[in-house]
Amino acid sequence: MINQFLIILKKEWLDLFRSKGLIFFVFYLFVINIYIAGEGINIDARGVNIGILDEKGNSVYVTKIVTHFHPPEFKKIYFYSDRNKIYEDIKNKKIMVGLIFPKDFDRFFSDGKQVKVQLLLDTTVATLSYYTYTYLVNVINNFQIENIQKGSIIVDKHRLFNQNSSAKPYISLRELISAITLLSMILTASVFVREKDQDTWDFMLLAPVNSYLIILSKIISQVLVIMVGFFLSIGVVLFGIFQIPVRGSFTAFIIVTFLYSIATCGIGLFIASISKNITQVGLLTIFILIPLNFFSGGTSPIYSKPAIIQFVSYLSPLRYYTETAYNLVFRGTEIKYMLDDFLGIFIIASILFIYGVRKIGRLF
Amino acid sequence: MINVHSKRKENFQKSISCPKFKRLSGLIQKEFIEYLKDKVLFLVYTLPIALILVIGYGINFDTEHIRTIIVNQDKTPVSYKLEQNFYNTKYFDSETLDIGLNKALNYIKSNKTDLVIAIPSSFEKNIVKGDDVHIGVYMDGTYPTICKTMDGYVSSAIRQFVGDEVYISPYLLYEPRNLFNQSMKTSWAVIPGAIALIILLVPAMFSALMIVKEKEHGTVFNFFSSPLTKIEFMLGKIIPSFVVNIVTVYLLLLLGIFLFGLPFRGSFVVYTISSIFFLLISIGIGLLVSVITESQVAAIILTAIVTIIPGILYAGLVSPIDAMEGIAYYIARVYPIMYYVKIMYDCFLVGDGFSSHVNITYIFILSIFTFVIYFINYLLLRKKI
Repeated sequence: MINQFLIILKKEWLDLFRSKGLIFFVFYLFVINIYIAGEGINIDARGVNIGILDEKGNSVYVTKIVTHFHPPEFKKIYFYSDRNKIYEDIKNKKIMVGLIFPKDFDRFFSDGKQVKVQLLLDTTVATLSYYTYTYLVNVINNFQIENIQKGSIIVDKHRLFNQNSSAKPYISLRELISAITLLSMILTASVFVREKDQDTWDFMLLAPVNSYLIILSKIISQVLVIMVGFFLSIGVVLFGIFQIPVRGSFTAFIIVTFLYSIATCGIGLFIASISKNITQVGLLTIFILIPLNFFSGGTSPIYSKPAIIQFVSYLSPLRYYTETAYNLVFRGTEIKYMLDDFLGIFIIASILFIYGVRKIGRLF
Repeated sequence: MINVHSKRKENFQKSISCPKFKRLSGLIQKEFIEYLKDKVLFLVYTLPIALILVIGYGINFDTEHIRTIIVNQDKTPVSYKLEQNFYNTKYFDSETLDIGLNKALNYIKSNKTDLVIAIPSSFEKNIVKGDDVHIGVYMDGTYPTICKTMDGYVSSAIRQFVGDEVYISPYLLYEPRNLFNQSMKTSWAVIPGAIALIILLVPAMFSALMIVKEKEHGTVFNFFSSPLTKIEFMLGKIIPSFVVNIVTVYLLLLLGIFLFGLPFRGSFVVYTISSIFFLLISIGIGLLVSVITESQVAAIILTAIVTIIPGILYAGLVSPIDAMEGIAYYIARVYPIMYYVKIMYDCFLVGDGFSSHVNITYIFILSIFTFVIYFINYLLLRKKI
């Protein structure tokens, strides 16, 4: 039995290793892509050109505010004397954002009267607009808190686990999770559909091997490939190049990754069982992967999403995995607080796995 | 049946001796028949609709209901006033707990809360005296984007407290005017990028098996031994896929306008021209994968890898393209989606159309991409074993 298991395992690996291109792309996803993304992708305002219009001329407060617009968040500061020119330059993409300080800004501000600053923002740069907006609002808020007249309120802000809000650890973990999700789904689905497509099922049928054993060993062969990729990317990129520490239990991280890849292989199995050809496998993978990616938290928290999406996300193994992975790597959460996530991922993995095995098993 | 058969035979005979375009039309007919047989057309149209719904409703940059714990060691009227700014708002789901700071911080560590506000015991006294007071703000920094948004909300809440309650002090308001997206709706900011992503993913995946399937089934020998030229063979693959997928381009446009309520301020011609080029690029990527791979499985995996992950990364949906550095900066510029995304934003939200030289440049760049990708396809496609 074990012998049969090993033979099928070996056959699947042979299949995989014959395709040099495939090996390269698995390597690309687990190592190169994570490195490039971690190194180069910023999730804050970066290199923004800003325009300032100070209607009074040499306002003291405006000069103070302008000191906050420095690299790397801001690239160039342009000073204007004409309102229309600011609008025009935003349209021409010369600047992304403009601040207009009214004539009586200094006087009103030091008198404690209400005064309005106009903030003009080009929102077509999507995410960058949002990050710039947040940055500017912070500057203005902090400026006010710092410049009250008597005493001062000092807000001691602590960003726990990532004091500088550096994107590197966050992005590289996110990309690692995406790589695991994409590959485990598509590799597993294709392992089965290929047999269907090339009519080699017949050989499997004739072989004196239990059909469940075939399915199991096929899946395990892919899970192991994923785990090798996982260790490679943790070892080379996260530990080696970026030196991101794992604050929680590394063993738990490995176990939960293993469970998660079984769950996503289960999804792959499901895709394989309902697809009639390989085109369908590809399209269905996109169909499932994109929602999984956007609904799992990480980009915006799950509790901010509409109720229905929150509910649906309970069915997504990625939700639990994202939580646990970030808990273990960043927060160093103790395992006793994550039992519900472990349970969630375990239950979903079991259901998907059993369902997929049955559905595929029926083809025997 | 016999009729169809004899007709096909007739067609075949014609195609051998007849002018080029008849050979081509025969090939195109054959492709369409295969689409219908494979029943993939259903997925080709339902998939983009489902994706745009998911992305349009699913992504939001708004962070609300931040789980907040307030540790108030002062318990005075002034400190309660500060607390009030964290209640009665959609941004915070606050709870005041009578626990020590360390215990509260442990809640962050165990992911039970996102934010802890610590008000020290001498808060009111110091404020009245005009001394410095400290407010401790502890945020979960695990997700940097969420953390920064949180930071902004906390500053706003404290600023409001400073302005409204305690001091007769400077009072500064900012009045945002968001050009092109006045109410800063997330769906407006996301849909143009989502359309680009979908037009990258679906046609590429749809086209990825066109040639490799023939290789695996051995029918590619028909091409080797027929009088079809390489260009005719390629056109025979591209045209049907283009016809099927161009429908999606306008389907997405309609959904964007009527379902998500986006304005369409730009030029329809710019939308059409740039979409045609980008669709051709997407099909070209699929075709290229099909040309270079030897098995269908390798082809879909390769397509998924070269489209899904870079597509999400470089379409600007989750991370700003203009803020990239290092190798990512160059990849974003070598990968065609960025240019198309920018044109899409112009079409929906800005509306400069042909009057902006940026748009014209980007359309020109897309046309070069199209040319290059099909040229590579032409070079790599072999008409012999």
